[in-house]
Amino acid sequence: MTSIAVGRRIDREALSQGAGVALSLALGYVPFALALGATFAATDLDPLVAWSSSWLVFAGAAQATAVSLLDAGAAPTVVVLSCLVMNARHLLYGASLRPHMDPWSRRTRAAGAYFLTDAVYAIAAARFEEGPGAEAISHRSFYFGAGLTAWVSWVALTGAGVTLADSVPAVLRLDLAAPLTFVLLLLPLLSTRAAKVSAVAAGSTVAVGATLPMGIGLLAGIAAGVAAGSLTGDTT
Amino acid sequence: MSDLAVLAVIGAGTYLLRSLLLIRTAALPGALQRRLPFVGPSVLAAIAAQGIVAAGGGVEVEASAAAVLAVAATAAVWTRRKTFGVPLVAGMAIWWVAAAVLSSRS
Repeated sequence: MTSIAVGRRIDREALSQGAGVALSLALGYVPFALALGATFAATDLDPLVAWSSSWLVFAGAAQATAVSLLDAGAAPTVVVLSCLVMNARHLLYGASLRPHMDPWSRRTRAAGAYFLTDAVYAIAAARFEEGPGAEAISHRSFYFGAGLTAWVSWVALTGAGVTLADSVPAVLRLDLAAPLTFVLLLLPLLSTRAAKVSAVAAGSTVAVGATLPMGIGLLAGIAAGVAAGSLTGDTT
Repeated sequence: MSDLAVLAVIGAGTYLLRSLLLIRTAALPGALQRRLPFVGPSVLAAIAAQGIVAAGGGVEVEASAAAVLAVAATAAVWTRRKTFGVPLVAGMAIWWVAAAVLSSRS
């Protein structure tokens, strides 16, 4: 075993692997995070309050929705409900990762839940599916390496967007880096016919419903994918 | 209710959604367990599709076509080299070239 366990609590190799994957994904989020930060600065909200959503909510699409609705003067109940409907998919993320986190303590899973964004779920699901037999310490270190890196990147990048606002240069278009990274995380999971059917159904639904509000289209796509995979029925 | 308080409530609600099934000790219902293997592929495909369709900032046929070409290139390179970096760089390069060519023709 090449990894170094520190007090049987951290696998440094897995930790840095998680951080590395999260960093490459963060690169793809640079344009969105900077633009979101610039939007925070452009609203009538206190920029510091708007930016606080990066660590309070830690979910880009919901943050964008919350800040724009608050800026438009929407009622707090409407803002809260809209964002929670958008984030309803996170409930499935927890259910999906739960079996892989079985050996973790409840407190560790509770801490891990804070980092369970789209990106961190994608990274963790791909890793856990590829190596289900890995040690719990390795999985845990990988997860927290990815989660902490994603969090620091997100908070820093949206903060940079607020600070730089209109002076953010559009030097290199990186918009597609994040979707391509998600494709690369998806490909190893397509080992069964049912998984392929799931992916095609989810992707097609999102493409057809491209004009739906961001969270709703995503939720519909995930629901369609899970339903199609279940109907196909084979997981081997 | 202050803006910060609204954001805090959304944060608390989001955390609850993320943690609810993650920290429960009881086993998940059988029907849900049988569907879990399809959550990963569905989520990844849905998020990727969303970014691909909206590549370039909006839903535009040319931008989406360039993005689809980039996905095909990324997948083709991945089948030969199952790493992360090379397929990603290849896909991005194809995207930049395809987007430039398609936009110059319009």
